[in-house]
Amino acid sequence: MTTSAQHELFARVDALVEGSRSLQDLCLHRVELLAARRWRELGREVPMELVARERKAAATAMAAPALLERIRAETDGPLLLMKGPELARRYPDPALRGFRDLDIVVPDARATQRQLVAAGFEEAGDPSLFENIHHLRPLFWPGLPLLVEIHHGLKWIESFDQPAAAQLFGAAVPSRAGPRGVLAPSPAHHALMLAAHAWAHRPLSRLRDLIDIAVAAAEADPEQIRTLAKSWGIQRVWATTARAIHAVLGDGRSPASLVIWARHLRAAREQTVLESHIQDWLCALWVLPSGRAITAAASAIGADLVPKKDEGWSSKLARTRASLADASVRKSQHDEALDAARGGP
Amino acid sequence: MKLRLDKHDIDWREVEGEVIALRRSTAAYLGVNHSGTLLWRALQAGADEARLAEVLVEHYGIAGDTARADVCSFVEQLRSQGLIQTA
Repeated sequence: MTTSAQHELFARVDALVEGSRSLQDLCLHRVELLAARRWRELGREVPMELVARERKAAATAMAAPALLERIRAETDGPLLLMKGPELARRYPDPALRGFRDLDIVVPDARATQRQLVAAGFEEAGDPSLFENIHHLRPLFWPGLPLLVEIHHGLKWIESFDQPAAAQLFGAAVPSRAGPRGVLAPSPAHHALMLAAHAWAHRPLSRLRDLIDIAVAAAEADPEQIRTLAKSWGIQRVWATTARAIHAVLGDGRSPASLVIWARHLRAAREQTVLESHIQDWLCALWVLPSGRAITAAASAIGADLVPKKDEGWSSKLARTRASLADASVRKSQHDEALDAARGGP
Repeated sequence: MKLRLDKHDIDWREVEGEVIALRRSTAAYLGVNHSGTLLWRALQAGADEARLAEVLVEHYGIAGDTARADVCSFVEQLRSQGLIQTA
């Protein structure tokens, strides 16, 4: 990414941050560290809560290279570092993009995990939570505030095949965040991996997801990304994501996705209850081929119209009434109210 | 004698006037308050204990003896954690 392109992108982020109405919204979009930087530039006071987050981010930014050195020294075979620290290196300052873990793809995850445990890394979390997911149980090095997740696959969009690890390793480039011998995905691969990952969690949900994808994509030829997206079968995901980035972080017009259910991105605010429901119902239309998309959308709407498992009709109707009454209310506020009505989260 | 931070083994960052340092070899963190950060900056520039005491006197207007005692304590703490060496 050229310095001027980076400047332009983050100037746009500054404008979005300035337009946001609350720190809560900025945290939700995970751009609060960028907000702190901007507020200081503008001479505004930075709340202590945010300073504490900055200190934590500074601590993790320093820990990443140290931890990667240990991991490289204690393991054999290629290590492909993705997301967090690799993207942070593309921000104006790595400490402006917080992260909690190191995501590393390896050819033999169990063997790498064993090597790291033998070297003194410790496993964290309930083992049952990490069965049948894309990474093994998180590891940590005592004293360092970062988890390490050894991946045997990627978080990917349901009903799509993810790319083979061999393809990712074949195109990999030297990592910017790690020592010699640590790799990172090629920029085109990284941009698509991030887009698919974000879409698998919740499509066009957070500003920081768009920034991350934008900084990765800025280092690749746009045509190369489109071709690769097509070969991975996620061309519609990419097209929707790229249009959203162009509209939110550039000077493009708002595509339909942003107008219908992702308006919150441009306003750097939380989705409303109505926007969230519309997204659940319709987002498949932006990803899947038309036949499958209509089936998926109908299925999502149908699922929203009947009670959840172990829920009675009276509870479902009460939820529906609350949703209608709260249509323009923040989603988290609505969820909190429902939890409170049920007697706690 | 001049003191110097072990830059090969330490990373540090300053946030809102306070230093956070990480000693990579031991994975140990150190938080440094505002006055300590003044001394840290002076150490980066290459200072001895006398100069560090001057920094405190100049900034806080405290007595020389008090400043020297504070510096001695600060330097001892850094030394015990392996963060500084004598040049």
